Amino acid sequence: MAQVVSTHGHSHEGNGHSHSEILGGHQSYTTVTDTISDVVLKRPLGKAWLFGFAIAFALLMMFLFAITNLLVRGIGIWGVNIPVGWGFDIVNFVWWIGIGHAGTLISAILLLLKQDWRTSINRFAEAMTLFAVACAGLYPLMHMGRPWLFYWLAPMPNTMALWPQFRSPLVFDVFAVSTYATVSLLFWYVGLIPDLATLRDRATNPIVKKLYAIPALGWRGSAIHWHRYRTAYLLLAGIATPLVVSVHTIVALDFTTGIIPGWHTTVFPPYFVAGAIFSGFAMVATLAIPLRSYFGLKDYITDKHLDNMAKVMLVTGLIVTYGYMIEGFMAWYGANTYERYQMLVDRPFGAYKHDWWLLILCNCVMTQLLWFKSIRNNVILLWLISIVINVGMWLERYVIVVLSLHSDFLPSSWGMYHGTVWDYMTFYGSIGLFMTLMFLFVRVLPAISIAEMRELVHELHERDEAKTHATPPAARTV
Amino acid sequence: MSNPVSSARATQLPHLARLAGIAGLGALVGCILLMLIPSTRGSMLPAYLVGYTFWFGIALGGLMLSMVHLLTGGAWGILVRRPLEAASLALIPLAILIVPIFVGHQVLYPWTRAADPYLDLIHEKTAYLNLSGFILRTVIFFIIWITLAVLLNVASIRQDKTTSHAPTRWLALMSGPGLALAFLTATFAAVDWLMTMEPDWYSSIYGAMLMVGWGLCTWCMMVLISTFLRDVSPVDQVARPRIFNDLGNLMLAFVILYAYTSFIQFFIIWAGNLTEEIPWYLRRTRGQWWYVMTALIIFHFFVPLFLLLMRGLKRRPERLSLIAIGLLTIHLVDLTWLIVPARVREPLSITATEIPWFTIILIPLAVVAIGGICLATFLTVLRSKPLLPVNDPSWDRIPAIWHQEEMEREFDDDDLDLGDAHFSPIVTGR
Repeated sequence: MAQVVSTHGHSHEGNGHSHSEILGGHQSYTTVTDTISDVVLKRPLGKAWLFGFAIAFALLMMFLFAITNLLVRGIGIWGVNIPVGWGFDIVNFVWWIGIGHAGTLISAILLLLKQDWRTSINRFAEAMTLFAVACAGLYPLMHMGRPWLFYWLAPMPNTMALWPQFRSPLVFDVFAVSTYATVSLLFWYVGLIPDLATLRDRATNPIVKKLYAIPALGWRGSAIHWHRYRTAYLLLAGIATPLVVSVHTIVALDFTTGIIPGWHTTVFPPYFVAGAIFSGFAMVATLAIPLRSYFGLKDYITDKHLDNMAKVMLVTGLIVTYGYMIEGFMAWYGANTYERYQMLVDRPFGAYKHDWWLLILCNCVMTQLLWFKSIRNNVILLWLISIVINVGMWLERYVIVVLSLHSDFLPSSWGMYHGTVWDYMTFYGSIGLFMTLMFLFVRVLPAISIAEMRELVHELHERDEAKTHATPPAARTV
Repeated sequence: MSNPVSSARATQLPHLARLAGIAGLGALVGCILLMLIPSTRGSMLPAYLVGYTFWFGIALGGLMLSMVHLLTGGAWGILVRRPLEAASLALIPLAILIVPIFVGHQVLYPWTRAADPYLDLIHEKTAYLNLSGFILRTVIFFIIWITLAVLLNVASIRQDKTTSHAPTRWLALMSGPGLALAFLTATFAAVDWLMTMEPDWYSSIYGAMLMVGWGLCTWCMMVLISTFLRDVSPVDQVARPRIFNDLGNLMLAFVILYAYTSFIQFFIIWAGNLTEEIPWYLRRTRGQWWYVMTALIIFHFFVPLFLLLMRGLKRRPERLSLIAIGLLTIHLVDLTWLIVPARVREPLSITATEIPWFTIILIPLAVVAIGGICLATFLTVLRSKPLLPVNDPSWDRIPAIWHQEEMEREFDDDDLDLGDAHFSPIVTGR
């Protein structure tokens, strides 16, 4: 059973991954299972984990307090006003939903593209997606002011014959985000089933055993189980793939169908999607780097993984930069007075110029550091850059949402916007929600897919076999 | 990994190159004559621009997709790297073939005309829309592209002669910035050559959209040439069903991406409904053009989408080639739809509802003229080098494909049915 793959003294040049790059140490089915499941089943609660969880939980309580106050007093406690009717709520919604996209990209698209380096990071990237979507989904609900009437967004027959406006991307959003949340949850859960069974089988405490047994759905690992599991998993990957693009495209359409200067530009959807992946990978790196070092998972989340993530950040960062550049150029080329003023005067030199320049620094300038291998391979620097990107992408949404609204067509209706203390409490509070869920997740479920890591061990072994035994078809006798 | 490069089919290449060259030159003479006659000039130049854009896209696609392969690797690259590199060198004749467009600028670009109703609308952008800037930018673009293409071809040959991967590493290092530069310059080439035909209209996704279409045509062309050479040694070692399957998937991805960019541009402009944007679509969706647009939606998206989802089609080179020919044809129609309705006299006019059939008839002539010369270059370059990049690091991926084929063959020999029947004893035994 224990199939040992030697990973030493064996390195290839070029694009094919060698074992030591995506799987370190001497790994067998047993070592993979032990290392990953022990984090959940055997490892005692560490001080660092407790400390981190305490902070996250405190932030979550602050979130609860801020939301309670919001429900009692209404959205007047926020900084939104006329003309800036979209503030932190929409900025945070777009920021969180964007972060989720990396999880789906890693789990679905990279699976279909047969990128084996996805295997060790897909599980917690998917969890990150779920938690980010949970945070994102709360904001439009709160933004409505009367969240208890949210079901009015759904097209349901009613005596007043009132229907949502189906031409509005805001209605598309309801469908896109709820589909996204459902599919992400299913994908994550289906992938977890074999691992839940492993935990069930290895747990010694009878109550814990029961708790893992129920969601494991009686998994026995028979050939027919695996056959159906693989089919379901691939189908879900196929369904999830368009969602990576559709959700953020529709978020972009929320802006572009408004003809406000700075919003109505056709390149928004593709560069929003790229920006979502950009921020999502930054968040994966922000989480993966401490995770692998704290739980001793460096053999599974290797430097090669970090290097690949950094490359994805570089590419998507360049696409985002291209987007800024081309929208600036088209604002000038279109020769529309308001568009030119918004993009070329107000943003770089207006009241919010510091936010704009900081955004350019974070997203366009700092990202260029990732061209250098030495920086990509420096874990601390990479971690810092990933945080800078998260900040930059938040600022991007702030600049887009607030600046276009604060100075549109009529100077008489221009105004300023600043978040209030409640805006900030809600924002940091949602980070608390996200981190609390993340902390709980890494303790109760395997953060790396055990089943898929076993498969990777097998596949790397097979690939070695192929290299030594396969012959070109011309040399074969058919 | 050294493979002898000799074959019977490969010897057909110079003959084909000569044929393409003669046809191209002949048609080019025809095109130039029609451009010289004042009464046909107005029809010939847009047709020429359609043909030019079509072939230019494939050459630029060769350059950009070669660099993509250097950055990402992948087994497909072994099969199509040499054709891609050869295609990129067609940029050299294309740099000369653009001269008629410069000469005929007054026909194609209203902003170059001394008295034109458009001028009132564009006086604020003369810093960009002026003839010397237009020509200067194009010259700079071609210098950049041709430099990249030559470097690519030269270093790739160097890689053939050594087992050290230093030339490929050097190329990969160059490909990152090279790709970024090519993307940026191609965007502005699309703006200059095509978008400025209607100088009051603008769309920020336009350059990216055009590039995706060019990429799609490049994949189609690669499928065609790989199918043609698939029995030639040593191409037969890598022209395996699995790799054609990959190429088919890449075609599918570009079909979807092109539909995405086109639809997004349409949806945003439709929803905005602004006077400076919407006439562009009104010119292309009214009258006879409506049928063209409908055909594009069906044959440029839905039909290839469903066909390319079928694995059986993607794994058979001949059938995939038929899809590729269909896609190339419909993309030519798409370029026609983008370029030809732009020729309207009045700004913001929505009157151009009739298809100018004489222009349409001249498009095949332009396609043969430019295509013949490009193909002659392509085939000559392709013949001058080994047909596969023999020492490319992506060869690592190939044995796994042979291995999988071997396994499949073994299963076939044993008549082992992996379908539901195989599992049925387990099901019934439950």
